[in-house]
Amino acid sequence: MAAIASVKVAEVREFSRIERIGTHSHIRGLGLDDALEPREVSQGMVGQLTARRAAGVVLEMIREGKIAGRAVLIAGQPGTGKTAIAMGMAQALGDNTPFTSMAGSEIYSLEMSKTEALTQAFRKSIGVRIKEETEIIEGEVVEVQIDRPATGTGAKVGKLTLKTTDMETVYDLGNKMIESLIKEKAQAGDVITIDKATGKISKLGRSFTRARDYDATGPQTRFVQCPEGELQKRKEVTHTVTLHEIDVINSRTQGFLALFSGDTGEIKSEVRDQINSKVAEWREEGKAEIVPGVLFIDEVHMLDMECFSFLNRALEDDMAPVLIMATNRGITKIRGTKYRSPHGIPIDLLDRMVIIATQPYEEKEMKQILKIRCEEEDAEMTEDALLVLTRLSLETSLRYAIQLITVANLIARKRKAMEIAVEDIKKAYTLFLDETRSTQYLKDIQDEFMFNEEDEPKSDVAMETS
Amino acid sequence: MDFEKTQQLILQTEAAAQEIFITRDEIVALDFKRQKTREAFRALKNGLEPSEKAWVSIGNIFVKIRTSKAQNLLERELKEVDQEISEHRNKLKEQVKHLRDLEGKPELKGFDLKPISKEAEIIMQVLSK
Repeated sequence: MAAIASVKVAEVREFSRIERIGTHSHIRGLGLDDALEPREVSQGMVGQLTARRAAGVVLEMIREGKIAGRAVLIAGQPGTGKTAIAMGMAQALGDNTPFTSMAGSEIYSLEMSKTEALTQAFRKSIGVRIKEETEIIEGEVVEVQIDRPATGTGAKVGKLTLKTTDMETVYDLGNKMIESLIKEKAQAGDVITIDKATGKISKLGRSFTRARDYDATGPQTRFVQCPEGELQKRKEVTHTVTLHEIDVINSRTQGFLALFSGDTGEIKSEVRDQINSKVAEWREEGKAEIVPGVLFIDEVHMLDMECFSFLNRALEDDMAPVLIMATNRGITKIRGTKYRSPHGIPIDLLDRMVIIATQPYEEKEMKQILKIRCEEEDAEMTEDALLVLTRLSLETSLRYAIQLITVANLIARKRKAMEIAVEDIKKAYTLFLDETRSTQYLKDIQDEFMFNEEDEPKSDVAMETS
Repeated sequence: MDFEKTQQLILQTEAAAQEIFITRDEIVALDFKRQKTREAFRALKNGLEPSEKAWVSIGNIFVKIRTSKAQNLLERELKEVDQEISEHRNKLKEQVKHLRDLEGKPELKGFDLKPISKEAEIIMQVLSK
């Protein structure tokens, strides 16, 4: 479509991404149509129709960006796609909405207090949109004329002729500009830009039409097209940065280094206050917009009582993001207390959220998921093998079945087969135990293991799965 | 989908795109005018004494007027052109928004903000390192 030079959209930096295959790397979105109706199988998502529909509604809410400080809880048994739904939401939100994903246990660190870790996570999920605007003169150098005074010292004067495909013009040059032209070694045939505000000259490359000027050119010579349209252009770029990034830049003398070493340490509350008031000022002057993002806390039952009460308070802030949590616990003890509560979350916090429940997958859906995973892992599987694997996943768990794909694929390749057959699955099944068989095995021979205690309560073992 | 409706939509989209091209061309023409006016202004400033008279072409007629007066005229014109260009650029934004709307693409956000170039540049410099 129209090449819009003056209203330039933030350029998408392209780089080839080497993605490893993760548990949820097949998820591309929530798989909803325009009316938010879930499609049976779409964008890597299978089944969970009501939960996905609900997530879609939440997504719309986030996109509107009007409400802050809402909380959503995704609850369901292990392996019912809670994280998948959260990932789908992140994908559907796109790059311009900040999405922070963390596990509940990440807040426990020796270097940082729990509330500091949570505050940072909150601030990572709030974006600030700002606009940069520069007036530039962009053109191909036709001629540079410099008059040097005969005495050798004193001010130089000169003329610079620039052109685009549409026009050509002459600029009078002062001493400063001449010096920076000389410094940049700009000569006829170069394409340059001059920043109007600062007078900074940068060389973009050499014009294609002058490509044959010399037989020998340096390897780093870049050839570009002669610019089109007007000479004096306005360049507008918008950026979305997170509050946390601004915090880090301002909190330390070494500034940005901390962003990469990961060692941000604790950020002083004065710094945060300063930034908050600066951002509020920008917002009032129409210079910035707040983009509330999403904070996803997986395994939220790992948070303790202090964190929950911090969340209660933090959600009331008008700059709070939308908080999405996931848990696989039923009625259990709240961490750090002896009280029991649904999902291991205090009732008062539960009261503030909307809860999305995920249902266990049915056989048909399991088969579909396994098929998608096969594609994701570049594993070919015969129809029979897939059926066997689906059966297996019903008896054991979906996660175990997914693990078997990789293993069976390796076994199949060892016998130089193109496809995974039933025998490969069987081999993999005998080689690797699932959780139930492992438990059974332990029960059978536990007398031979060390330090076993016969009458340890079983419930604790079951709680630590997933 | 309805054939008539589809056709209407395509027509509208094409018309909107055409309008963008027209505005773009107008901006280029205006910038050309700006550069030429600037050149004339510089030429008068460097070449002649303010009390001398200079030949100025207004439309198709050449008239000889005082240099200082000609300079004032050119200066005013420069200002007008500058303003007109920025008006056109704002119009362009509206048109692009309209076109994207017709194409069903998401709105480009943040372009209606006031610029904070200096701070933004520092922030982005730090972040991109």
